[in-house]
Amino acid sequence: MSLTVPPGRVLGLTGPSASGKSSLARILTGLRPPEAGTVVVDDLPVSTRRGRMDGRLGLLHQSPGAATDPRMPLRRIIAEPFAARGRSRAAETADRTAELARRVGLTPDLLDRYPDQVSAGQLQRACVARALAAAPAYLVCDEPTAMLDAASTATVAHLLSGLAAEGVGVLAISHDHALLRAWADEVVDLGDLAD
Amino acid sequence: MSEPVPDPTSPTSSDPLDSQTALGTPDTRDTHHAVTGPSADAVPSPAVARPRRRRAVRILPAATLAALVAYAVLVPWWAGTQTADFARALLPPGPGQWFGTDHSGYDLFVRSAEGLRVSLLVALVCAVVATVLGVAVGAVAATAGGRVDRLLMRTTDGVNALPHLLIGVVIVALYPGSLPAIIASIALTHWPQIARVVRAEMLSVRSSEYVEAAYLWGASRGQVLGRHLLPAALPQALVGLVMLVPHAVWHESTLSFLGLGLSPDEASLGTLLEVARGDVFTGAWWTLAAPAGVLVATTLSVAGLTRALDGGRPGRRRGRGPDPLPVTLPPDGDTSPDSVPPLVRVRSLTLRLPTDDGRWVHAATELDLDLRAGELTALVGESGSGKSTLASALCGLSPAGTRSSGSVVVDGREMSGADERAWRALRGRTIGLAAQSGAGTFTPVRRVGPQIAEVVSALGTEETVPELLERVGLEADAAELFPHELSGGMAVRAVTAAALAGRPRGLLADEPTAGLDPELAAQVLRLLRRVADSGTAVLVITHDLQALETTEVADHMAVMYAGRIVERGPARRVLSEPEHPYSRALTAALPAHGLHPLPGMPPELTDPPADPSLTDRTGATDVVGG
Repeated sequence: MSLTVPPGRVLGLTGPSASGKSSLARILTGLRPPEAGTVVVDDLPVSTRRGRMDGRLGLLHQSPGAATDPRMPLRRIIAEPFAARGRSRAAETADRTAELARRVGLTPDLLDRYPDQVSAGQLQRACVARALAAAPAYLVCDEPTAMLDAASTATVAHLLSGLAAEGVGVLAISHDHALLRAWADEVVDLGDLAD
Repeated sequence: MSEPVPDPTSPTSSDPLDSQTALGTPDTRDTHHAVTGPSADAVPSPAVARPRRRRAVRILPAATLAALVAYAVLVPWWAGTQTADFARALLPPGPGQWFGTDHSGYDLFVRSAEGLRVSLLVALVCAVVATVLGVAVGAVAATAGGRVDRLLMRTTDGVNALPHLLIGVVIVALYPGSLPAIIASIALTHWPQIARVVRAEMLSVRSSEYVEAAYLWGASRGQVLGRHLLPAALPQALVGLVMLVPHAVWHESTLSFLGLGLSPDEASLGTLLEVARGDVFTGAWWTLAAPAGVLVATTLSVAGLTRALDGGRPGRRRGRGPDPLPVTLPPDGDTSPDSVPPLVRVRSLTLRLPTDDGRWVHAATELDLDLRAGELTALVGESGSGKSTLASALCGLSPAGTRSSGSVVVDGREMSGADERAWRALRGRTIGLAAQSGAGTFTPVRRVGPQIAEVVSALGTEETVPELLERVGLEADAAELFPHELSGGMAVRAVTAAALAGRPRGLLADEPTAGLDPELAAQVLRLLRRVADSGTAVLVITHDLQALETTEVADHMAVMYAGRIVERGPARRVLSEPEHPYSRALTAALPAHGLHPLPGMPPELTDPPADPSLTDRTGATDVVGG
């Protein structure tokens, strides 16, 4: 199968449960090697250099609880990509973290809490903020709203649309046709992709 | 009703930690609540001794160990250098010499302190060296993986298979009386357990999604190790270290007792035991009792400390602060003129849950709700609006320390303030709960069918597993599956089957559609509708408005926001023409209605607004109106 994610748009990918959508998300981000074929990002294949990935791709997971370190407060979770790239000073990191938190609507008092002390919707906002901090060129979202209520779903969808408007290519994988119809610029079905 | 009016302020669970209720004499209760009745659930006072004992378990070992360390450090310093005085040899314990004297006339009180100091020092160095070695090996094995991992773990197995004492004897025999040799002989044989624990913990964290995400934004292996793997494994390693200390004390004492350890000039406890061997036969029991007693006390206190470290984590929720509940009276009699009383009637129910930092979560405030036979009521609202807390309260399963007021009448019986036994008679039989966690409700190691059969036999009904499975739309051979083999939709059905096993007259389904795709969610809701049509009162707690709108299964709908029910009415009306601004915003957030995000976030339930409206939502996103 082949699939092209355009930059600056939300591409919806749908398919029935257990049709390999999550595996596809991992292959697309380079976490799992494909059996055959290649994943190319902006004309360069996805690869690792000296054990590091290049950070052009991001992945937003289905369950925010599983995708955050339970031993870190939200503030550290959001700032993690800054620390991993190790180029900014503490004050600058704090400023940018606060800015990202404000952008996704997390109040400052929430930033000192641990993942088990906030709701799934609040934690997924923190995951979106973390994805923004990593500043990927393409963001693969694997059922980003499956664990969320209607209100949080709408918020996360709009945050991701905002990201697409800034030029990031967003691939939204979901089994929720109604959501993708309302949210994505274009929807493709996994079953139609095989060739 | 002829039964006494129950105390409306009693917590639904009789937790002994809830000091105010558990300890409360009628007088102290009256000072807090103007209205109290004869208390039906007075907790007998012995129950309050439990928390105190639990605290003692945590403090006693630490205090004993601190006393022993002070003894080992201060006594030799205070006594100074001792000289042999054969005139005072082998005196029994007495006022001048508390632990007696040995055959050289040394005071055993001082000698034991010196011995303990040496023993503890050796043991601590051994434990630290072994732990550092174990963490290093475990971390390298878990991070490198592949061939390095296999090589290191086989080495670990090999070292673990060696007889520790024999290795110790061989090493110490090669370097007699050498302190580094003793330390090496113990440390080099005791790191494998720690390496195994550290590796196992790190492997589970390494496969987590947050480590996946970290690699994606370009984190190196070292960064992942330092930021995620080590913080996860270190608490375990610390427990291992503490457990190693008494072990190393004994190990070193054994070597010294065998005459292979330290010389009598720098005596450890083991050396003292060895020296005492000859004197015991002449009747001087104290020469053995003094060092042995100190040794046993040290071991016991460290072992107790380990237990406290391991099991004494915080997380026990206890409310402090002032009593959060205003005085409220449950209304007398039925305020609604309906002829058929509802199965469950909730009036003015207020629930306050304690937080760790002494504040109160206002999970429910002044709730009114009726559940009637044959009707399906949907309770909707955002996550964290208090929906699940209400479901727990309706089954008498509120968390420990919860304060409640108001009235919950189930099947004509007032249940607020009822004790565990009264609730147990209702659970499963009158009210069934299909909990939120789906497959997590079942024991993972056994097949589903027998587990449902167990529920049936526990509740003593005539149901059979095949009939129950058929009612929830599962094939009969689903009974042969293990919980992890169930898909999300099947898990919800199986949980519902278990909840129906007692032929309950009311069914509470907590988020039955969470994580299901729209097709499956609709099927599950239709199943619950069939349950209601068979004469059961059904409460569906969900945030899935979309599925409710598509399937139109609900008769009544209540919208919950910030712990209050802000709107209720016929489901069709609430969905199509919501009146409260929050209900309107919630329906507008649905994909079919334009996916409009709500402004900000719901207010904190620890500090809820007095009058909930959309204007009190905290924070703001850039996406509003986008």
